[in-house]
Amino acid sequence: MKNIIKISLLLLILQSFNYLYSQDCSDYYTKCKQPSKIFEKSGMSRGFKISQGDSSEINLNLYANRTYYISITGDEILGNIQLILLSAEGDIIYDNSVDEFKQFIVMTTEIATQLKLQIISQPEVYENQSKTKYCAGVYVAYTSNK
Amino acid sequence: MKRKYLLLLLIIVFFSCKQNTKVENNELNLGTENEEFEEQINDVYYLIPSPYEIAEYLNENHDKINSSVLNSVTNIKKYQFRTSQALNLGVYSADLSYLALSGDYSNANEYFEVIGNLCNELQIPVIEDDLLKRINNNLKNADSLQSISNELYFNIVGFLNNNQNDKLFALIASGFFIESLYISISIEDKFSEDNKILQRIYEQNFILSSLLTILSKYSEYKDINIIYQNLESLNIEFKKINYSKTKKTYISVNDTIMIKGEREISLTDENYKSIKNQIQNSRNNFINLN
Repeated sequence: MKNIIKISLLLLILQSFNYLYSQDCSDYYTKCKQPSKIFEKSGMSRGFKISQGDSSEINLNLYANRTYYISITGDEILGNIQLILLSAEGDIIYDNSVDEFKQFIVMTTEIATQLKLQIISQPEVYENQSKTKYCAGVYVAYTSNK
Repeated sequence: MKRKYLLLLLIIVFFSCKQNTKVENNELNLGTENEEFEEQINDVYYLIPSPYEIAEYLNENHDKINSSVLNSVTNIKKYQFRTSQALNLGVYSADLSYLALSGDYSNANEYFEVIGNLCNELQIPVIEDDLLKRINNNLKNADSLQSISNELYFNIVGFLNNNQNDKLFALIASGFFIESLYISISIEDKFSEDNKILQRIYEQNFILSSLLTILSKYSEYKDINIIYQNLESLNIEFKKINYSKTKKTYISVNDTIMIKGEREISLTDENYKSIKNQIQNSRNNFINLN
């Protein structure tokens, strides 16, 4: 009987790990630092999954005469989240690694444009060698400049 | 002996309840085949504004919409297959956004209903009782209508993201993109070179390129390819427009990045007619798809 209880507990623990790895990250962007209430949440806000040390690229479509607020966050195990903002042509506009990994930026646009965000996990310690994916999020909000 | 059977039973229960890290999805019935779901490589994302954001940008003055311009709710009877259902879920989402933008609550209820029905058909479980109550109680308040329609959109996108269903999202997005352009060009029916709304319609070509990139991943599927070809035809018309390429500059002022620049678009009457025709053709193809 004791062995059955031990095995049952072990199975439950293994199940819980399995649940973690298949977790829903779609709303993870809600954990990002929120802007002031003058901003409206954009449809470009998104949660996604990323492994330690990996990078993701996010292509944004921005309208003219807007102020955009963009913030990022990730599971603690991902470490610092580096955010590099690039023009559509690939020029680096901003890199938060020189700004103490600041987790949000504010931009104003005079013209409609496309931009790229590179999101890079910079952990201090790699927990394991597997490519387990963890939750991260990008929150995009906007307000009109008129 | 009983303990061994109990242990065996526990092991069997464990493996039968084991959660999958990838979700088995009821795939789109594209043509006559059911395609097996493929795990997405989510390293590059193409994000587009919501239907309300697009409507707000194109209809800056929040002009009232003539409801005859919108896709009739009775057309829902046509949409028997998942492709047309997904496309027109997008179309109706755009319609609802324009109604919310112009504060037309009287028609909004019908559009919430068709959106809910299409979500059910596509097995997107996003309209919970709480949201339904708020829809019924708040349809006389413009701000609530906007908030609820946005929440509905975010619920749909969240569900699709969680189930890694970029294909379905691409169809929905194609629907609301074309419908937004269609409504806008119906409001702004006359050509003039300095018409700002037409210029804003031109600026949607950025979103169009993102949509085409997403759709191109699935263009081997016949029904997706039809949608792709429709949007590509519009893309070709956009590319015919002459515009001045002004260098953008990026300036940091008080922790704000300012993206400065100017783009002059030389829109001709011929451009306008071609674009308008293509938008109307695509829209008609989408809402008449079975």
